Amino acid sequence: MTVYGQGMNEPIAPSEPDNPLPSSSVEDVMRDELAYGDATLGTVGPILGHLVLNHDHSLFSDEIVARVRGMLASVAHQLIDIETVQAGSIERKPGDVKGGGEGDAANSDLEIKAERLESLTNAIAADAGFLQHCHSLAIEYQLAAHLKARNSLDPVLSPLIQAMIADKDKSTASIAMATLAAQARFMQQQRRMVLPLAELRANLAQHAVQCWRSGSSVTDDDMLTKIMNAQRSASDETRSRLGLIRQLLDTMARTTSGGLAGSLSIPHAGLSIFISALGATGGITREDAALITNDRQMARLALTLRGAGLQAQAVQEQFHYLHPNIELPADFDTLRPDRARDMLGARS
Amino acid sequence: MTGDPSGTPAEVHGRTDAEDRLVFADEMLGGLQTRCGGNLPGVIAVPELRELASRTRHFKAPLAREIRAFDGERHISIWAETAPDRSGNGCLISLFNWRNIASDHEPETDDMHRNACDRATADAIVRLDPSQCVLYAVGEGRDLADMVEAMNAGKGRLWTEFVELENIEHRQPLHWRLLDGARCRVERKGRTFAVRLLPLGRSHPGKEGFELLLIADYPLPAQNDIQHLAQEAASRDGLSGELGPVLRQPISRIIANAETIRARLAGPLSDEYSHYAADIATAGQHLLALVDDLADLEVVEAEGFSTAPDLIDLVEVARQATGILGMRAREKQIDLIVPTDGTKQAATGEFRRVLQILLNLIGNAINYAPPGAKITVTVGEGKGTASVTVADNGPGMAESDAARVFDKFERLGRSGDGGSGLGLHISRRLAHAMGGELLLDTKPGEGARFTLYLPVAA
Repeated sequence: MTVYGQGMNEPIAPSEPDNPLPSSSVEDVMRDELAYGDATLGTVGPILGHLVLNHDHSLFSDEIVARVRGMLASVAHQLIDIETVQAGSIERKPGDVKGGGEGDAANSDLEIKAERLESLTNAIAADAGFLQHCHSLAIEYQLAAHLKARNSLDPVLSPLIQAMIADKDKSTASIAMATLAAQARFMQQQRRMVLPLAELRANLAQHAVQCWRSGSSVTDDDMLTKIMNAQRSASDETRSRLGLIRQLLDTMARTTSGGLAGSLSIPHAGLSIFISALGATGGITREDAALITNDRQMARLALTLRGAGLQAQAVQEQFHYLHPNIELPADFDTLRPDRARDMLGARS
Repeated sequence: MTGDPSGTPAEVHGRTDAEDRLVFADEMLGGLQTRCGGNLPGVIAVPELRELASRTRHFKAPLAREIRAFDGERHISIWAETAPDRSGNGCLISLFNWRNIASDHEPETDDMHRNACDRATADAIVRLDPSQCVLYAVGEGRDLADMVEAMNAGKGRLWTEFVELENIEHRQPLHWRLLDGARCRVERKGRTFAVRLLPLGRSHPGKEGFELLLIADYPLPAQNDIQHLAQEAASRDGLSGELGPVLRQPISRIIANAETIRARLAGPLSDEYSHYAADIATAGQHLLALVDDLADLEVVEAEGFSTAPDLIDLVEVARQATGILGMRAREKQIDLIVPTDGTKQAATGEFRRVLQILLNLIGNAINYAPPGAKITVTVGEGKGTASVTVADNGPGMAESDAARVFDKFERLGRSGDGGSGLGLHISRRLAHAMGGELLLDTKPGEGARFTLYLPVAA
């Protein structure tokens, strides 16, 4: 996927008669284009085959792909906006705009911006980790919306959050309140396909900034520092939604006798906390945890939940929400948690 | 709201035994059972309902979900709630919101489209409990920040207490259907918002509370978005930080260009257009002054604002202030009188802040005194305090006006002269920050005397 499209970003240079290109460079350009074309042709089969044959569309549905694309563009947008605002204080040099009226200048500005937006979006998408993160958020949102429609489960205000907001311990209550607000904002952002920089964990934010930086025409060191600082001060991992959920889980693990067991219940904890807890107890990334809620990962989900110490009946309850028509094997309860963990360990 | 087929009771009941056999059913459920090929009593013939009942027995806990069925003629969607019965062997079934759907696929009604659009565009989303009291609120836009904060601090209060509903005088709370589609304001002169009240709960609308959406009639002006971004970029430094230059730069450019046109530097131009350009330049100047005032206000109202306790000479400050404003005074043939050379009055305060106050006081006097008036600056010393007084022989003002003159944005009915109504407010805040006071002594027809008191030098 990352190969396809890369070559398209560089338009083939126009070969006007008054500006002929050396023949070797024409050949290079054509050869590169051919190579990209070949790579694309090579991937058409498997990708189309997968989409056509795979009846479960929850991983690569149009909606999921559109959301991932929207989030990537939103990150690129924010970086370019910061740059525009910071650069606003730099006077445009008189020679910058040649000929044409004000309208032309504005149009060409827009075009330049659109081009930059696209190339920056593509550059950010080239990182598999970044893509996975966006993909997992899209899946989380879609599933949350689904659970709301199908089971009337509130995607924001879960019984667990409600209980923690009412906690006597003030710091627990305030983390819970902050999580609630962050979760409400998350749902709204997802509806708009927006992914704020501030919600990215450090390494992902850094990747985005690096992409922006390598494509930026800003050479002023002062400005660079300013933009980096602005970005850095905006993203505080502990105040992001996922950071807050992690703190909430830490608090639970410390203070409740049952540890994280309560957070591994979708109707009690809510989907978002459930996914975080699934990742934490299963020793997998949150991105992977979101993926294993998928219809093709039922065995992994069942084993991960069992490995976390859930009773067979509690595992079945989660299945009721994620896969309502699936019955666990009758003797699932005879599978010991340590065996479940071993089976998962042997596979990974 | 998708209407129920006429004649459908709000709630339909049934009961199953330990083997998921339907042993009792209301007419609606019984009919569905037979149309789906089942008997009564007999095993539940609606697959998804049977699944739900079986799970409920298994978990011994109530469950709820939307189920779909096809009775040979129509596709039906039903909200089903099941609970274990008292014996613990069978289960009780309650069915709500019984409706026909086009096919097995998700029915997309106009209502659903509208609700989805409204959710996506909502500027504020507030979750309410079944009695319309606030559970939490989130929102975007500066004009919503205060409301969101107040709502989150005032959880459990009615949402209608936080907004001004238009054309609704009725004692609150009204039924949600009457409020859905209403209009409201959050700030008295701010944007108007459309109100959407979406009920939650599948069995009875509103049983699980409401989702309140406030959707603005128009977005905040684009400039504000840039301001907002710049504000974040500058780590919330605001007008007084990195935003100031961002705003001042384009305004200065407007002024400079307008001046160029006014002075016909680029070639001949009719008088009319020259005058327009002059108006643009003047408006720009006022805008610039407003930016400065707002930036100052931000600084003096910030927590932890403090001034340097320097040893200063009030006469020297007064002389500098009159030097800066001398030109403007001469243009209006106003006499500016300052203490003669040699006089000194020591005080404790920050030089540039005291200068700022005097520039404001003398500038106001020049602006509002009639041509040919006299403005006198004098210094004095009392018990532990030094003072500097700016007096004019203008029209003065009524006592009621004098009381309001230090209020924020107070213009005393004036408009169009470019003042922001912030100058005296800021001056007094500055005086307080330096441990002093700014007072006004005036009577109609007898001019105005503003006196700044500062601690005398130790």
